[in-house]
Amino acid sequence: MDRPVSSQIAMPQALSPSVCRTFRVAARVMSPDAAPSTEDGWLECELLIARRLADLPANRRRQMLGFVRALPALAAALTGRRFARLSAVQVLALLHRLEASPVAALRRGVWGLRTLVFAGVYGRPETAIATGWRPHDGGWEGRAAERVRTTPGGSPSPLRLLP
Amino acid sequence: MTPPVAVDVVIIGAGAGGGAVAEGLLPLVRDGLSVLLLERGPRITPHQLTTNEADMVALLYHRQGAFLTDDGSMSLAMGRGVGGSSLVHGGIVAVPSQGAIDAWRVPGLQFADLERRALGLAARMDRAFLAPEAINENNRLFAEGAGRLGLQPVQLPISARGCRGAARCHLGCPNGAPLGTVRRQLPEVEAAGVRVVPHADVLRITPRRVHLRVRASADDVGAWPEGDYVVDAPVIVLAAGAIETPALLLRSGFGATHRQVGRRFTCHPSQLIVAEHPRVITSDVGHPTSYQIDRGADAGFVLEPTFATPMVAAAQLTGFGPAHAQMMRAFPRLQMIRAIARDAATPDNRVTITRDGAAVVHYEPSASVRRALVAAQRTAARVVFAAGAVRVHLPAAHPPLLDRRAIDHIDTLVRDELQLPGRVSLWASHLMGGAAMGRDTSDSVTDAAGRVHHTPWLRVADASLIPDGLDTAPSLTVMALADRVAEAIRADLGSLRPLARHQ
Repeated sequence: MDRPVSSQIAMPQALSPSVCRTFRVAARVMSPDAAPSTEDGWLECELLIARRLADLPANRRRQMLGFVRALPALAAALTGRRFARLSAVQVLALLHRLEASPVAALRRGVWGLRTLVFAGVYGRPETAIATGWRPHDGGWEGRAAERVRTTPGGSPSPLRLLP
Repeated sequence: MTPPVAVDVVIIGAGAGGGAVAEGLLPLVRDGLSVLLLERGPRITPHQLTTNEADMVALLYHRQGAFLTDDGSMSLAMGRGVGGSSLVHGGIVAVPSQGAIDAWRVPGLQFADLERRALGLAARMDRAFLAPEAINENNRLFAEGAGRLGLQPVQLPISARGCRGAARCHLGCPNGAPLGTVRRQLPEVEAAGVRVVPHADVLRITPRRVHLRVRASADDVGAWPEGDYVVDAPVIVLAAGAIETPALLLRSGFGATHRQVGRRFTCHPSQLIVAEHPRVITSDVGHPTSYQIDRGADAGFVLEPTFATPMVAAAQLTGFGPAHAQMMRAFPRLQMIRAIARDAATPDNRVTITRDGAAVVHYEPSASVRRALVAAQRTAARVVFAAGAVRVHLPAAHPPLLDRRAIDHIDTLVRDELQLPGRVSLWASHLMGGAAMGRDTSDSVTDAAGRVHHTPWLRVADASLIPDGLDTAPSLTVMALADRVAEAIRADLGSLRPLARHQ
C-alpha cells in the first residue's frame, strides 16, 4: 500500500523566532515577487526551510544557522545600522556585498541562505503553480486534453517513436 | 542482534549498478542461487510521485539534493530509494565513446566488450529517438539556435517507449518511463527470487559479512523489522554509488591496504542558463533533453536543453533579488539549457569519512572546468539569442541579466573571475570514481571486473569503478560495467563458495 510522502518526511524542529525573522527579511528581498503574503504562507515557507535544515548534517546545520544568526551583527558592522531597520534596498545591497565577499565563508553563507529561502518560497505548491508551471502526468496527451477542453478541435498527442 | 542471515551473494545498493549485477546473476538465481539486494532508501511507487516539488525532492534525493562538497560550494544530486539515481534519471541512453574508455587504460577492459554490453542493455531499454513532433519547443529552439550558429546539435536517444512527455524526470517519472533499473530490471529480478530489502543501512563489511541496521520502515514491501543484522555471504558486491561505496570501504578499514579508496572522484559540474523569450514556449511537457551540443573535445563542455521545475530552477539560477525574480516571473517563457563541464579525475578530489563514518566529498573544480563553464555560458548565450530570446541570465556575468544588445560583448561580460565558489550556483550529477578499476593497489581499488584487489570475496559494481572522466551520462556505462562484474561472479562462484564453508 502506498503511503503519503508526508508520512515519510520527519517533522523538523521549529526555527527560533529570531531566525524566522531573518529568513522573512531575506525572503522579501531575495524573492520579492514570490515571498508569502499571508501568515499561513510564511509558516508553510518556514516549515519547508526547517525540513531542509533538518536534513543537513549537524555541522552544516550549525554553520548555516550560525550565518543566519550572525547576519544582524554583520549588518551592524558593515552598515552601522540595525538589521531590522534596514530598508529592502539596503538589505539587498548588504547581501550582494556578502555574496561577492573575498571571504569564502560569507559567500557560502549567502548561497546557503538563498538556497533555503528559495526552497521555502518556491517549494510551496501555490507559488510553483503561480509561476506558470503547468505539469501534466500525461505529458503531451494531458496538454492536448487541456486544449480539447478549452479549444474545440485541440491537437492530439504528437508522441510517436521512430523505429 | 538477530541471528546471521546466510545468502550466496549480497549486493549493497539497488541502483543502476546493483540492478544490473542482480540481472546478470539471474541464470544462477533460477538455479537456486540466493541473492539479497540491500537498499538504504525506501521503495517508491509511481503513485507517490506528485507535482509537489518540495515533497518529491525530499522523497527522491539524498539530503534533499543538498549533499554539499566539503567546502560547501557545490551540491551533488543522488537519488535515494530502490532504484537509486535511476529514480530521477532522464532516460537518456548514451553509449560512451571509444576514446573515453581507451583513455582509462584499464588492463583487461576493452571498448568493444563494453560497447557490446551497453548496446545490448540499450536495446532492452527500447533505445529510440523521439519523432520530431514529440520534441518540445525548448528543445526545438535549442536546435534552431545552434543550427543558425553552425554548432551541429545532435539528437540524443532515450528509453522512450513509456515516455508520455511529463517533463519532470528529475522529480521521478509518473509514468515509470525509463525501461532501466526501476521499471524492468528490479521487477524481473524480484520475480525470479532476488530479495530486495529497503531501509537497510550498511554500517560496515568484514570478510564475507555485512553489518547493517534496518530503520523503521512502516510497511514497505520486503523491509525487515527494525534492528541490527549481519548477513553472511561468500560474495559481497558494493553498488552504493560513487560516494557511499568508497565511504563504506573506508568505514570498513580498507583505506589502510587499498590506498586509492576514495581517490579520483569526479563528476560533471553543471550550471543552469535560462533565457527569456517574448512568448510562451513549451517546456513543461515533452522530454526535457532531446539534443546536445558536444564541445567536450575542444572546449570541455556540453550544452543540453533541460527543464527545471520552479523550486529547482530558482535554486539553480545564480543570484537573487530583482534580476532573479524577473526570470522567475518569465517562467513560462523561459528557454533552459544545462551547461555541463567534463572534468578529469585527480587524486585530490576524493571521498573521505568523518570520525563517525559519514561520507565527505572533497572536490574543487579545476581551472579547466571553470574555463569550460565560462565558455559554455558564452556559447549558450549566442544559441538563445540566435533562437530569438530577448534576454539571458548567466551565472558568470555581471550583471547576470543581459539583453540582446550584449551579444557583441559577451566575451567580456562573462568572466572567469566571477565564477567564485559560493557566488555562483554549481551542482553536479553523474558522480564517478572513488573505487576505480586499474592494474593494482598502486593505481586502483579493483581490477577490470570489479574484483577488489587481493580480496576475492569483495566486488564493486557502480559508478565508483570509473577511473577517469566520461564523455556521456554514466548510467548505461555503469550498467555495462556491472554486467561484467556479474559475469566474473558467475565465473568465480565455484571457487568462492567453499571459502565461506571453510571459515
